Amino acid sequence: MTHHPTSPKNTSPGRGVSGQRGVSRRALLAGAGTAAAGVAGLAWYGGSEGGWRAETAILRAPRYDASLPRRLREGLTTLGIDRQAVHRKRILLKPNLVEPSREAPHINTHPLFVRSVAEVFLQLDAAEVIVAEGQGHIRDSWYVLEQSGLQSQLDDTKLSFIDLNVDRVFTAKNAGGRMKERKLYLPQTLRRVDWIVSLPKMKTHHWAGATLAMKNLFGVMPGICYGWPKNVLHFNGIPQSIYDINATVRPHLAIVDGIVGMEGDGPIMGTPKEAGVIVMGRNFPAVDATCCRLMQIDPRRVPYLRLSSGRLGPILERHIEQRGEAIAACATPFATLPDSGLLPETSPI
Amino acid sequence: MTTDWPKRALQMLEESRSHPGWGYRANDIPYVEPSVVCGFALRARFGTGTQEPSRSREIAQWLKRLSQPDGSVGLSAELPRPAWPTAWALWYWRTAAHTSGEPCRKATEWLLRRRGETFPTPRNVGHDTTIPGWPWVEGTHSWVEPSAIAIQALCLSGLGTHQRVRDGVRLLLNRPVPSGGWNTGNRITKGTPLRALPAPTGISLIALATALTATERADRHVREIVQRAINYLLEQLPRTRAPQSLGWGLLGLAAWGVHPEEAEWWLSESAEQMLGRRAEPLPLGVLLLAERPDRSLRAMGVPVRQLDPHLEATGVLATP
Repeated sequence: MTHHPTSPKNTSPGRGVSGQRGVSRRALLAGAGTAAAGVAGLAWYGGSEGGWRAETAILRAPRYDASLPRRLREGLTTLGIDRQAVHRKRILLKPNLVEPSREAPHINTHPLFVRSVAEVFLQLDAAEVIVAEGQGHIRDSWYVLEQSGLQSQLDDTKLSFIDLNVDRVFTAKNAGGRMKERKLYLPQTLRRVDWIVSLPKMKTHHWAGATLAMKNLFGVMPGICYGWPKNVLHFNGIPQSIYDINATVRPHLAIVDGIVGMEGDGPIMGTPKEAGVIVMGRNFPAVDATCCRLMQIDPRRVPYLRLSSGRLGPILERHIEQRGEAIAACATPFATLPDSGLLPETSPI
Repeated sequence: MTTDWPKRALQMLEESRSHPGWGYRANDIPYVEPSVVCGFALRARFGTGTQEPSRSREIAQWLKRLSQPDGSVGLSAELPRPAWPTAWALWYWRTAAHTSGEPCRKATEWLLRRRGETFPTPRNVGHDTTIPGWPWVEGTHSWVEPSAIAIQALCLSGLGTHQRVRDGVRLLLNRPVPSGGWNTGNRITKGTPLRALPAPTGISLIALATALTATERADRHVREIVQRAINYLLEQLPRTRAPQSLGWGLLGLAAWGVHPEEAEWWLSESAEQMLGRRAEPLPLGVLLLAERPDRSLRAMGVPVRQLDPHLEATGVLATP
């Protein structure tokens, strides 16, 4: 559950595209007033983080095997997500399939991971589970499913796949306001589901510092409107785009595949990194900040997290309740490139 | 053993049509790109000129109705922007019997005006960012596929020697990944060479077959780029049954006179897998084009070129 002064009892994650809670007025005003003064416009909200509090769960998972559904279910239980919460929900799973290659399976969310999450939601009485992706580089979604190994898992489980790159689109007001676009094109499929669940891979990123639950939402932006790659988002600034997309889409749950992640030249050309963890939570900045700590990257050095702090959620450790495993027990250093977009070291707040 | 998949694919196209064209999904509203590709597939199968089927003729007329006052053609009737499909529309018009008219002229002019953003080449970027090609979305950088399609459309408009086309060719020749073939348009990022992808490689080979001059085709550097791309596809296509990747890859090879012996079998497997799951018009159209590659290339206005066999004999360009 995410706690915030404006919605202290918000038991389900916020929704932008369907008109639920957006960024608080206070946060917006603070952001507008300080954007120009911050590091490349990424002003630090402040040590209070606007009162945001959140929980994340960390689970150990040494490999992709039959125990995954049980571990995932434990994690959901830890966060209070039970059968009642999931009952009759239409669930959209958004894996990271940016540019899969059979030669490098660590690029994408593992197909067994996607399958296991789907099975768990179906066990919890979800009305429907669909897998959807608007992959960033490859126009041929059949190639993406083939190279990633996901097609065979979809076949086995009769799960349907939706190519968000060519979905019918609608426009939504840009609730973040950091990009120059006042409206964003979004796939209509987002409107027909109850929960959007981001299933990223735990990776470093050669421009953004890290790519996790929030950056994974680049993949809901339709390629027919934003290109392959989605260069419009790069030209607007990657942190600003990540912020605006998350502020507008307001996804519901993140479950990070950190069993084997990627370090170095992510998101595509990096090397595999065994981290042996699954991280989940409803508040995306909190989840990504926790992942960063597990990767031994200070989340305050990640521009999009700095921008999101106090506006979309908390990133400071004291504002995030860690459930399950302790960070210190699971953390392992992920190598980053020298010029990977990370901000200079910051002093503790 | 191959099957009667083309017949069933045509039937599926008929059933999934949304008058007057095709959507990205069966029975979705018509979009420009899938309509053009499926229109090409029908022309390749049933003929052009007086024999052209009414279905493909209707697409040309519909595209003209989508033409914006500035000459651009958007994604669909509902979405006038972004306008990268303008190149598809112009390509389609220029290969039809009825190519004259205001929409053609204005689309040509629009395409000549449109250029991707250029900037000094940053450190750790492995291509020349100062060469103007065509972007997916206005105000962004140039990429391989929109540039290749624009080159094709402008060459068929009689502008093969225009500076914009020559710059576009220069861009394609600047962007292959070091191991051969093309990714989306990046080749090296932060010092790491990227992997090639079949569909952009196939589409780039098609554009180069049309746009390269005889002098350029005789240039050793250019021939190496083409041969390495061919080698990449010959290595990769046996390992994919993804319809657009396989189809564009085979068409790219055919544009350079290369016809893998097992292509018919690969296409059959790809089509069967698709028809058994979810049939989508655009991939089906690409598969149908690849099934009769030489006829399809003719219908699309693409000449078939040959590389000088002497080059392979040097050993530098040996096929895998």
